[in-house]
Amino acid sequence: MRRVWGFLLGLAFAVAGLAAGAQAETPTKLKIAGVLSAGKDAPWEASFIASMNRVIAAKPHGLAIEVNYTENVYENAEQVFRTYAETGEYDIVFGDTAYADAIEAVKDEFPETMFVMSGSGNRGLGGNAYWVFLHAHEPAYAMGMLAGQLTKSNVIGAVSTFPAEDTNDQINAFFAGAKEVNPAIKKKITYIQSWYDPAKSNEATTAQIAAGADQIFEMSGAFEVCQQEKIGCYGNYVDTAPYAPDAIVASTIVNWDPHINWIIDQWWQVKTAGGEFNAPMEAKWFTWQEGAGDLVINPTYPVPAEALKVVEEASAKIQSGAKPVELNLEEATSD
Amino acid sequence: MLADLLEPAIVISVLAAALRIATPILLAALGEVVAERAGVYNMGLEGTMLIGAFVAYFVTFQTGLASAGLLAAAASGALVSLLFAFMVVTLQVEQIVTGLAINLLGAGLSTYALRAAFADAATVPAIGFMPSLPLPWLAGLPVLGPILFEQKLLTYLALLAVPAVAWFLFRTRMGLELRCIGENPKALDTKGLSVPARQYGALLFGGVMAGLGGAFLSVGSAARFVPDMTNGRGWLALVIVIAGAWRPWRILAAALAFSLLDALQLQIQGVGLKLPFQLLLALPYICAILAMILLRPRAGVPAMLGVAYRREDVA
Repeated sequence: MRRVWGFLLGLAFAVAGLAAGAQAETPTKLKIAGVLSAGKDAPWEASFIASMNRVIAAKPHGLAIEVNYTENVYENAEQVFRTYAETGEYDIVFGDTAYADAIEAVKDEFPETMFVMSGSGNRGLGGNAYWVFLHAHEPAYAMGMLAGQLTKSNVIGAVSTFPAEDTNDQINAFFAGAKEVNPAIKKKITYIQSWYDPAKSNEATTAQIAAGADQIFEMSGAFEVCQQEKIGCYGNYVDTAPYAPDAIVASTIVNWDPHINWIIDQWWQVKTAGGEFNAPMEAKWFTWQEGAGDLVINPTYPVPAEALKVVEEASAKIQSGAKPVELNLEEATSD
Repeated sequence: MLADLLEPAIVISVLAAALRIATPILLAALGEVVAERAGVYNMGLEGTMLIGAFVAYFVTFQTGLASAGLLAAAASGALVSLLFAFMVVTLQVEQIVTGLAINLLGAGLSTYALRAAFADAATVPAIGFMPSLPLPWLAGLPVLGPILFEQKLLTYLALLAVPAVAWFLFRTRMGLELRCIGENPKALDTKGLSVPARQYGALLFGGVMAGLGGAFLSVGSAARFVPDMTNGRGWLALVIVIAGAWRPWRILAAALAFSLLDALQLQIQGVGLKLPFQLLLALPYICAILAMILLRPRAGVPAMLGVAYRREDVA
């Protein structure tokens, strides 16, 4: 009799164990490490964090998501990725810039961890290394149409950080949009060769104004001269109107939501259906319609109703797919 | 295209920009030359400027007064240099190592303070843009007016500091004593004059100037603070001191040569001249290195620069 009881007890434990095992197959928690190339205040990083917060609140697949960030990661990237992976606590280590070298060095040692790199300067690595790309060229095109209509000098400028594929796409589209509505415009492009140097960025803006520009796409995050000189300026990544309410005409914003959700879906797929990570070799990107970006026009800026109408119509066509915008990654040069 | 660059409006814009770009570097370099003449090599300029930039921004934001921000930046620079002086003059810690430590402290502390002050890092508020201060009558002069006399307060201060520092170093008794410390501190010590007190004083002046240099970046030209916004200007000031052969007027020339090239490359890109802009961006730095190489043999390096003065025990 005792033997039977012992057997039953053993069976009960085994069943309970199996049930627990099965439960572990459907994750309820997801822990993400966010590796940021600059400080949280930089627009690129700010947009990443804002999107991440929206995704956390939306609880995809019912997951309780926890995120920890490390800022200013560049030269020491491999160490940061390795340290996160070594803890064994993080399911996804999500880098917001060109971390292909660092990820390539650690990805095979931690096959259970999913690594993500973003934007230009990367290459497809496959396996557990995923690559997302944010293209905001579609809203940038519509924004260019605004600048092309508002310019009086027919000189439009862009002040950017470095020439890179994920800034070139926006600059080219911006000028293409401006040219569509105003073929007479001339373009001026200045790179300050620094990710964040507002003093230098302001000097570059002053130089463009001296060269005749009266509408400037500020891609290096400085708007003080626009405000002071009362010229029309355009921002990117986040809504920049609060920085210079009298000068910002519009901003193209980037949303990481579809990218983050796609990454989580891939992770979920592997964790619930089994199998191994199998990242595509091409970068994954999303369109304006899919929510990867948007155009935010400053409501307090006096944009003529006619100009606004042209841009709104074009925006609707771009989003519906009726008006495709060329994705041009070539380095833009001044006219 | 080249003709575009020679248009009067463009030339004026480039020259006025050159003075603005030179301002923070010149302020820090003029402070540094006094410290180096007194035999102390303060490599912590970058960190001191960063702290000055943050303090100026924060105090201006809190009080709404740019002048309060500038004063606070000067005070913060003085405080940092006091720490530096205590380390290298009193404790006689290696000067270069201490300078590097100050830079790390400045970068870390300013970013930390920014986060502590503004919990939501994405919405750090901008402060008002510090207006230019056109000088009456002078600003109305053709060409010279918009270049020289429509600048900001700190730019005038930096330019006036050139003759002031030159006069102080070479025409006053105190200046002579400082220069003497840089060459032969024992001579001063045997006369019963305190070497450490003078080095403290020289470093304090250097700290104030570096703090003001940082303030120009945040309050004077960006209207906000972002981490590491000095972007190497503290290091550049050190180079300018060497390129300027430890003489204020030559330091002005070196700072202007650099800033003019920088302003020119920004304008050339803006005008759209077909030159590789990477070369243009590197040009000011290449020229600074060339100036150092060419001027070095004739340079007046203080003999005891970087060497801590130890009073020999009197038996």
